[in-house]
Order: sequence, then C-alpha cells, then structure tokens
Amino acid sequence: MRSNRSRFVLLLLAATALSLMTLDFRGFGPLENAQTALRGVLEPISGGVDSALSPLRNAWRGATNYDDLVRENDQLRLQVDKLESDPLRVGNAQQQLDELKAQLDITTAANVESRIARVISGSVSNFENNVRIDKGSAAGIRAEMVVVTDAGLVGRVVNVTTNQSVVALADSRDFGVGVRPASAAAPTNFVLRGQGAGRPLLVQGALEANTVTVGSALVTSGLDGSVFPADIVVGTVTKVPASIGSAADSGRLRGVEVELVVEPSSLSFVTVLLWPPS
Amino acid sequence: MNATRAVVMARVVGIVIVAVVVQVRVAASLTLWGVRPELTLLLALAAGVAAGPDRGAVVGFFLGLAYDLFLQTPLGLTALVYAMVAYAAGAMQVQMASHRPTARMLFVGLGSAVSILLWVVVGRLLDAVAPTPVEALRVAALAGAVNAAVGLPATRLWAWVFAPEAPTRIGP
Repeated sequence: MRSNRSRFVLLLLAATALSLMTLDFRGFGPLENAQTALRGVLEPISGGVDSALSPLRNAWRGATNYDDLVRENDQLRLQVDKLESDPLRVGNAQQQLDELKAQLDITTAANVESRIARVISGSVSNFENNVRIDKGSAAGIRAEMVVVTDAGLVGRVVNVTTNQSVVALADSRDFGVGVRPASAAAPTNFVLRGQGAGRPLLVQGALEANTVTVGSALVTSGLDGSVFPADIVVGTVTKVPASIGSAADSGRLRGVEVELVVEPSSLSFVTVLLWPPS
Repeated sequence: MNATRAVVMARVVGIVIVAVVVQVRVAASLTLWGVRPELTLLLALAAGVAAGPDRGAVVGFFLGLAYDLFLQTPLGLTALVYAMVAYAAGAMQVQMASHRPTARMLFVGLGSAVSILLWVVVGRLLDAVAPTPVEALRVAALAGAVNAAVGLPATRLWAWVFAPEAPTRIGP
C-alpha cells in the first residue's frame, strides 16, 4: 500500500514537472509572469545572503585590503581593455570613417544610449555560460539587448528581472554574430558561432581564401535586421586552416577560429546598449 | 494542519530558500577545477536517503523547481530530475536497509553523479543544453565526489527537519 502511494506521489510530481516544461516551451504568459515575480521576491533575499556571506567569500579568496585591491583591479582592467582594443580600433578607423561619410545615419555602438552595469555573479549552473548584472528592466534593459565593454562584444541579454539581468556570453554554444574583417578593402560578411566557454568561436560555413588571415580583427557587420549594431569589436582570427581540397569547395576555408577580445571570466563592469533589435 | 506539520513545513521551506540562494549567489562563484558545487542536488538526494522516497521526492521536486527559476533551461527540468533521483536514492536505501555512514555517503555521491548525467541527457533531448560527453562526465565525477564528502551532514540536517513529524532512520 505504502509502495503504491510512493509511486503515485512520484508520478504526480513527474506529471507536474512535464506540464511546466510544456507550458514553458510554449511561452505560456502567466507562467513567465509567475517566474519573474518569484525571482523578484527572491532577489532581496539573495542580496541579503550575498552581503552576509561576502566576508566569508572574501576571506576564502585570501586577501587583506580586499576592497582596495578589487577597486584598483577594476580600474586596471578597464585600462587594459581599452589598451587592448586600441590597435583594433585604429585598424578599423579608416574604414569606419569611409562608411560614416557614406551613411551618416548608420547605427554603431558609439551612438547608442547605454547603461553601465556591475557583474554580480557568473554562471549559476555548471552547464551554462552567462553572467548576471545588477541592472534590469528598471534601468530600461530588455531581453536581446547587446552587452559590450570598452574592448568589445560580451554577449546578449537573455533574461531580465526588475533589478538584474542574465547575459549569455558570446562564446556560448549556439551564440551567433554576423561579422566582417575590420580592415578588408571589400568587406565580406559571415557568421561566427560560439563553441562553449573558453573555446574559440568558429566561422560558420566556408570562407573565400584570403578573406582573413591570422591576426585579422573582426567587427560586427550590423547588416539590416542584425541584432548587433555595426562595428563592435568581436575578436581576432587565431587559426586559419589550409583550404579544403574538394572540387566544390576548392580554395575555400573551413574551421577558421576566432578568439574573443573580451575575457569573459574576468568581467567586472559591462555596458548594455539600449538598442532594441529590429 | 497541526503544529508539528507546520514546524516541519517551515523548516523545509526555509532550507529550500536558503539552499537555492546560497547555490545561486555563493556556490556559483566557488569552483573546484572549474566545477561548481551542486548544493541543491546534494540536499535533494540527502532528503531521499534520510527521509525516504516519498518525502525525498517532494523535497527534491521543490528544490529543483526553485533552482529552475534561476536557470535558463525549461522550468521543471531540474525539478523532474531531482524528484526522480531523490525518490530512487530513498527507495534503494530502503531496499538495502543500510544505515551505515559510508553507505549514505555512497548513495549521495553516486546519486549526484548519476543525476547530473540524467539532467544532461534530458536537457539534450529537449535541446536545452549541449555539453560535450567529456565535460558532462568531468562535472558528474567532481560534483559527485564533493557531494559524497559532505553527504553525512546533509542527511543529518534532514533527519532534524523531519524529526518532529516522524522519526527517520538517521539520528539528528
């Protein structure tokens, strides 16, 4: 009798979980609203626990004068980001200027309203690749908005509550971004795909030979309909394999690898571009 | 609802909330060879081992559901897996009638590794996660080892939680 009751309890729970998953997949509005509301309720509690346990965490990380070091480290990191991006920006400058002359109304990251946010935690689970920031819908942030640093592309907002947002990092699996070489005479647009945390991004499909070389800087293409404004530095090409040999693909390149300019694991502050995707 | 049941419910709700908040805000930033602790999973399995399959499944379900709120995977995925593995751990513990500490540690450790792999398999079927097999095995092995090491205090915690309502097989 007891065994039957146990099985009934398990079946009931499994059926409930499957129903929730089905509703979530279908984007059932009331469920999403309930999720957002519950996260909102837990936010102050998690903030309190975070504050209460931060001394323990800081002690764990083993530093005296921790706050001063963190502040100094943040400032240095911002400077390093800026310095790292300068050569890429210089390489891209002439072409940007030409384009700006031709299209004065082009949308780039530089002329989009933005919000600076602090990164408050990394991925919550072992199988996610994202960061949480301390700004949410109250600061005008919405899902799909683009997140950058002075160095370049960080990722895209995927989830928003009132005071927090989750940002999927650019090296996440299935993350795609349209790019072009920063200094190509005749720009070629193509798509980069993330392969997972800490791995290089791969060029989707094949490229014409000589489109890129090792060290080429890539920036967002910002084509019509793209969710990314133009000219955000994404990364540099780190590997260009020999062209493949089949007749159909002769002279074309597959497996081109790109390393992000931004180091996702060392983010402290990011900028969210309040640029709604078209 | 009588007073005893209310006390147990309050303890369960409190532990679920604290566990999820600690998992999300603290454990997520403490990594061991790149692997984060799986505190909520540890507590779900420990509930099954300490309090039996029924209560384990219910506690596991709500721990998973609360954790799901913070994940980008479909709501209910973690709740489903936690409920199933907590139930299985409790049922196996009853079948084997072993209350020795080493057995409890083994159940929690192995259960953690199996449930992480189960979560990945179900997540892949739903196209919600896509870790490589090597990555999944590495996380399962490390998180399982950590959870085995801290399994005893977790089972004692649940023994204390359910003590007012009915004795468990493990002393607080």
